[in-house]
Amino acid sequence: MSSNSTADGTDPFNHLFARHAWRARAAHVLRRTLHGVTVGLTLAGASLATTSHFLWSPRPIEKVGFGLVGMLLGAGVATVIARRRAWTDVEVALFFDRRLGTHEAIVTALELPGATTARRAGGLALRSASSLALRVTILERRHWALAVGGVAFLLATRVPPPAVVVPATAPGSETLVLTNVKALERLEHVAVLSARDDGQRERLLMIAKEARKLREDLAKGLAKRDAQDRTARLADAVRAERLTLGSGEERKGLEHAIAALEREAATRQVAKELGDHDVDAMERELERHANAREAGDRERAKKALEAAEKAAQAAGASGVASSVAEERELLERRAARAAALREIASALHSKDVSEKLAKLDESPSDANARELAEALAEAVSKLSKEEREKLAAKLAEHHASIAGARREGASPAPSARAADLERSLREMARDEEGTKESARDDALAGAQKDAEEAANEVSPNPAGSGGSGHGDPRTASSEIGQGPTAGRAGLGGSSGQPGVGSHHDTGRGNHAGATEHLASSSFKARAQGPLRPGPQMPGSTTAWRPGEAGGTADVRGTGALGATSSDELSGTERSDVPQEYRDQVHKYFRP
Amino acid sequence: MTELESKLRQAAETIKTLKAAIGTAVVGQHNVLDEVLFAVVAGGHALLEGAPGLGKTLLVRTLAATLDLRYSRIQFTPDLMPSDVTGTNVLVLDPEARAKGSAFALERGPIFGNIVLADEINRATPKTQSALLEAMAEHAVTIAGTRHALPDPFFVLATENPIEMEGTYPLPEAQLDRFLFKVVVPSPSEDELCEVLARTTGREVPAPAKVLGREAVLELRALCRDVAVAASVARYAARLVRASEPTSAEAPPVVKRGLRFGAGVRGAQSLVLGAKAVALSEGRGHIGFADIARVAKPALRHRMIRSFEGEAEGIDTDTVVDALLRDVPERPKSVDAEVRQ
Repeated sequence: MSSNSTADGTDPFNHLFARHAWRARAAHVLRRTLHGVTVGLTLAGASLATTSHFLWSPRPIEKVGFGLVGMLLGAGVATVIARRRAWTDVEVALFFDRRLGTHEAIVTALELPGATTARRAGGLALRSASSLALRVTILERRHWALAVGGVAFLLATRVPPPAVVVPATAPGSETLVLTNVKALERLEHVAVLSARDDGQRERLLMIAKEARKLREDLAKGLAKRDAQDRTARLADAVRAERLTLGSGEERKGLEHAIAALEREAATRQVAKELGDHDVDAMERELERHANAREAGDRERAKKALEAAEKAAQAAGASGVASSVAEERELLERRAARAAALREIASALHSKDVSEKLAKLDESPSDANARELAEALAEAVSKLSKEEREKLAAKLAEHHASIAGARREGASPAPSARAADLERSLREMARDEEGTKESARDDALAGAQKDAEEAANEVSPNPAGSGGSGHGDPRTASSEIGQGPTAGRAGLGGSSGQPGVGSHHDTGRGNHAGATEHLASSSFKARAQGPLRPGPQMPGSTTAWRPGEAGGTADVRGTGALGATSSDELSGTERSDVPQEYRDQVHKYFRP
Repeated sequence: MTELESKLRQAAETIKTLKAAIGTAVVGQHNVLDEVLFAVVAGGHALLEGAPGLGKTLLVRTLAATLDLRYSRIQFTPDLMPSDVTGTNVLVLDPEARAKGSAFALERGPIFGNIVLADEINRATPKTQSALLEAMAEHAVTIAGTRHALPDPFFVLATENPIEMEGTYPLPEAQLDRFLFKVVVPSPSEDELCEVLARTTGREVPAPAKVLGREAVLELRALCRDVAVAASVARYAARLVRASEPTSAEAPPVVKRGLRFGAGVRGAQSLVLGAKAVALSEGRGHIGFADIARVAKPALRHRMIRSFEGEAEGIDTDTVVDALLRDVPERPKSVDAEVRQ
């Protein structure tokens, strides 16, 4: 047995060296891996900082992900490098020699297997060496950075991302370019409306001219706030035009006319509607009197209208007097038509006619009168020639008995001639009578809608806000909605019902009571949705932050007043407030 | 314990005894003594340089006295002739002797000894100095065309005085290269000087005892050659010598600035042989980096030739060797870094 072998035939030096060398190499790889983890964590920190600064604000879980990925990548790369640069046996032997102070006995034994004394010396040194003497340092001073970095990452996950301050641009300063604004194009047609007087004609021409000018300016490009201002002014001008009846110098005459109408019970409602400048409602009330079978209220209404006309005329309100006279004449024409229809209906025995007549009696309106006329025309068309002659004779006889009841200018009575009877009835069925004032008001209402449509086109309401909130201006107090985001109520109907989007409460439920008391401190956000990479959307909330003065849910307050929400911008321009208020606001903010 | 280990231990003890024996006459100078003994054990020649009166000659004489070897001394002077060193053929006057052989007989010079002390070697002319060249390199001399082998072992222990430059002839580089070591003899310390005074001014001067015979010296020298040298250690010696070359990429700045030529192949051989002697003196069968470093100065200092700039700046070769030992890594960088942890 050779001197460098143990009793079992194995070389003690080789065995000892192999065992210690494996430990040394493993420790070496482990240390390099820790280096890699440290470097990876450092790079992850740098990447996180870069990302936070230039790309997006990472959430806590993303921060942890950065750290873990960095450490894993660093560990992987370092392990590969460590394995490729692992110590050779000679390097390990040199390290052991240095640590044990063996005068290079181990490396000599390794390189010169025949050097028996060196093998014995090396083996002896390795056998008697403590683990501490042969250990390869695993933890170094730089590895403190690993612990510090790990703690820093954990702390970083607790730090909320900085709140995004959305810089507020000057409200409405952006340039708006709109071509082919149809609403303004339609609005230009107010120039051809029949005016009540020269003053109104001039104002309508100005409105049409401004509409055309605004349309041309919008096609070229106009600051949004200017566009909003001008469209709002147009809408206000049209709205104001609908309120000009009895305004100014004719105010006194209007009040006298109203007083005259109020004196008669049958026309008190008419007086109220005249006072509200609601020509449509006034005409509907008079329409009811005109088509009613009983003549008492009608006659009283007619006299009240005559009195009102005279009172207005006496007060110098010729416009009001003219309008009231027009309403009176319309009342008479409708009354004559209703009387004629009832007369013919009484001479004809038809189930359909009877039903329509009953309907007219029950609800005296022009619509029911036209339905009755249509039914009568149908019934007459089915009569034979003899029956028509007989009916005509009967009608002539009846006409003679009530002669004198007609006056010049009354509505066309059914012709005494049988041949013309059906045609006359068909004309009455189509005839929709009205005053010039109501026709003008209808046209102005359309123009007002056009103006408001143009305003909406210039400044579209944001999603979720109320619609355009203008109903009839004379009942606006009950129709202006309060949208959830300072929007405006929808278009109100002509009957004064609240528009879509209005919060006008029509419910009858019990609003008393309360929900359970909840402590606000116990509320916790549960949203875990992924954040989009890239800049935050203005108004999106990505962090917990205590509230502060001037702040909103998503905009950090920047001053005493704080930042203005985009929905609040130009709110005055879009609010349904009198022009005087708007001018006051303009003067306040832009003196 | 193996036979080799036993021999190694015995050799170490022998060297220790030898050193102790010399120490009875020579006070202090432990490094000098060690290096001279290393040279003897390694079978090389040594050049001792030092001021007069430092005990150079005494050291060599004492060494010769402790070794049971033939000792001869040559006092080099400017008029010393080569034949005075090597010997010459002389006319034989005895008729009987002439009848038996040639009319001339070889009169051997002092070179024919086991230990030759070449005292103040730089005082002889280069012609005479060169007479030593063949003897030192080949352990043989040629006299009148006949080659004569020198006895084995053969050591030349030369001394020179660096102070007195008048009338001296600096040794040529080729001859310097033949010396295994150049040993610088320093001035004694105060304590050593007191000890010298005590020993030399009294009535009795202690005489060293014979410690080693010729066979023992030869065996010691053979054993020295058997000391193992790992490739990593030998490579370190090679790196040191390579780095001493000014044109080498690994050369430290001081080498590039201060040297004209570095240590050659004989320098590397001297390093390893000297390191083997160091290891043997410690009873080891292998050498280490420290052994190389231990003999670096005596082995290399006389082999490096300074440049003009080096001489002008006063860069001595010991400084260069220090720089080499500092800048040339013993182990790979990764191991060194780990060792420093």
